[in-house]
Amino acid sequence: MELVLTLVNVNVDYGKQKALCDVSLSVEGGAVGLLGPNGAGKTTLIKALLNLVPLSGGTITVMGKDSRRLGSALRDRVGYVPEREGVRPGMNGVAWVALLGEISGLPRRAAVERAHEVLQYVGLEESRYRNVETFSAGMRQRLKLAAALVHDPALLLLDEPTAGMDPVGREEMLSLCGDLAAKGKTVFLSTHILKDVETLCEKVVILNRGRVLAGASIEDWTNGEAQHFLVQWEGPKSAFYEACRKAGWEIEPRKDGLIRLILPVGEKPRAVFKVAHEAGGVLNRFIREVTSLEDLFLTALHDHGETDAGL
Amino acid sequence: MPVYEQGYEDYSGPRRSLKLRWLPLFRDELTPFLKKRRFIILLMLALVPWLYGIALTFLHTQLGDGSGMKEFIAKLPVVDEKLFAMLLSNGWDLFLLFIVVIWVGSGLIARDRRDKTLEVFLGRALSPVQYLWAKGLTLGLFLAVFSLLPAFVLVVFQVGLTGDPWWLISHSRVVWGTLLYSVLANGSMVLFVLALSSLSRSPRVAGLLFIGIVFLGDMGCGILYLITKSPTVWFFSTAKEVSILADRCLGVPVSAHLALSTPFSILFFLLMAGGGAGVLALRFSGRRVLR
Repeated sequence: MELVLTLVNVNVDYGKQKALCDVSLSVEGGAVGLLGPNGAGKTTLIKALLNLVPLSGGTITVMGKDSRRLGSALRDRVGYVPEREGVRPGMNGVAWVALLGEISGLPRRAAVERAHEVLQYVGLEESRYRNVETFSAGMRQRLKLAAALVHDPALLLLDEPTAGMDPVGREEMLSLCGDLAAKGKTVFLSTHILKDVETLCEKVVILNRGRVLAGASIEDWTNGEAQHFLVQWEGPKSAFYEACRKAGWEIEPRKDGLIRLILPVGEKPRAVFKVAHEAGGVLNRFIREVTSLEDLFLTALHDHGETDAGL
Repeated sequence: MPVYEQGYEDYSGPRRSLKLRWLPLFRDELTPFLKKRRFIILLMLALVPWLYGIALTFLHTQLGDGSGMKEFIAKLPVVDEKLFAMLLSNGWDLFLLFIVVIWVGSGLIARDRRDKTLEVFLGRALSPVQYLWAKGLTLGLFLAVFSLLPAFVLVVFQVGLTGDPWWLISHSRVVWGTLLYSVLANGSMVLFVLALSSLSRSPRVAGLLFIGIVFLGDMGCGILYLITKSPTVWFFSTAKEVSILADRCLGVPVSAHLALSTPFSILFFLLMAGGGAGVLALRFSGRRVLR
């Protein structure tokens, strides 16, 4: 698959402060989460992708082209949702989205038609003629998404798209993003909300204090962790514990009667049933404890000696 | 029904040339002002002094031979370079021009910085040069109402009422002088105001900066002139420099109390335009304007 984004040793300085420090990553496509606490450098990274902040080192390639020479034609393939504001007071939704469509090259009539379409798509068809300053925070986020979509980009850079949204609105926004990713668009989502990344993204990049702490597919990452299971055992406990220890598993009996089993990487869950059978008992319950992204995030911070996640 | 089920359609229609992407932004800046009645009245008021020129043309060409008025009309100024220079730099129009500069110019970039729409525009297929061109052209067009537009109308009246197209040849300096004045004065004013607007997130602050520099500069020069009686102190007076520029462009002798040497006047407008362009280049090339 062709790489949509490639960053090699990217550095961005704001005076003496290093906003990004030797950031290297690559994105093939799909939905990718850029996760990090406030002040981690997520917004700077997105602005660097759009050549909106000057690099003090490194290279960024967007769809095979150097971002510093990011020609206008290439910008027509990128949609950007800024974190804050990004809408013009005094204009209604259709006028604003159509204006941005026109700037992105759509003829006047096509831009207006397209504005209506994308506003309907993001669920703002009822409010499209209202002035944008009367929009709620959630409606503004949807409006910004519509503006980012009006010219039909292949790559969407979303900077905190669910900021200030209520739970229902957040879910709908993530559904829209998921739908766009399913339609073949590359969605690069910057957020500090772990749940958003978990819901939407197949891959995640963790950023803190301007550095990439980790980056991988969430599935691979989860598979790389020890597997946790909760079981309810009916039978001689000592025999079961002994069999588990013999198999090299950790055991943590819980107060609710369940037993947590921690299997090493690569061990198949089927082995638990085999051991239970050999120990002369029955497993009444067998629950897989999924390692959450939060655990992975905290582990990544811990591994890199970062104690202040700021979340 | 989840909202996304309403369906997303790809766009496969035509796209406008990359070179014309500034056009929608220009239109978007222009139209809100044209819808404001008070702004239109302000522009109309700028044309009032030029009615004097049209009246003079009318009197000279239509009533000049009338026996009762012949002597009176003969004493009136004729429509020539001197009249154009006077009309181009009359105090009434300069006052209105400064109001328009503050009203339109101060918010051109500051508003986009405040609303974070600047990064939205520059994140699209719109180069900083195209962005600045759209903004500058908006202000430039309104400033042309104070010079190019009424001058053109007066020339049309003069040629039309005299029925003498040779007037244009004998007074060709009226045409190119006005054009030169308009480009120099308006161009440098536009660059200067855009630079001020790029320095702040608040249109009000940018406007106050302009007022501070222009009006306080004029006031300071006036006080210095009272003390020193030296014409060189007018160097930092925008109003006086505009007046001198109009005289120079139209080949009219400059009043003695304003008689700065021509290089000084040129230097003033070079400083204004160059300084403005320099600030804009620094702010936009390093993307500092986005912070």
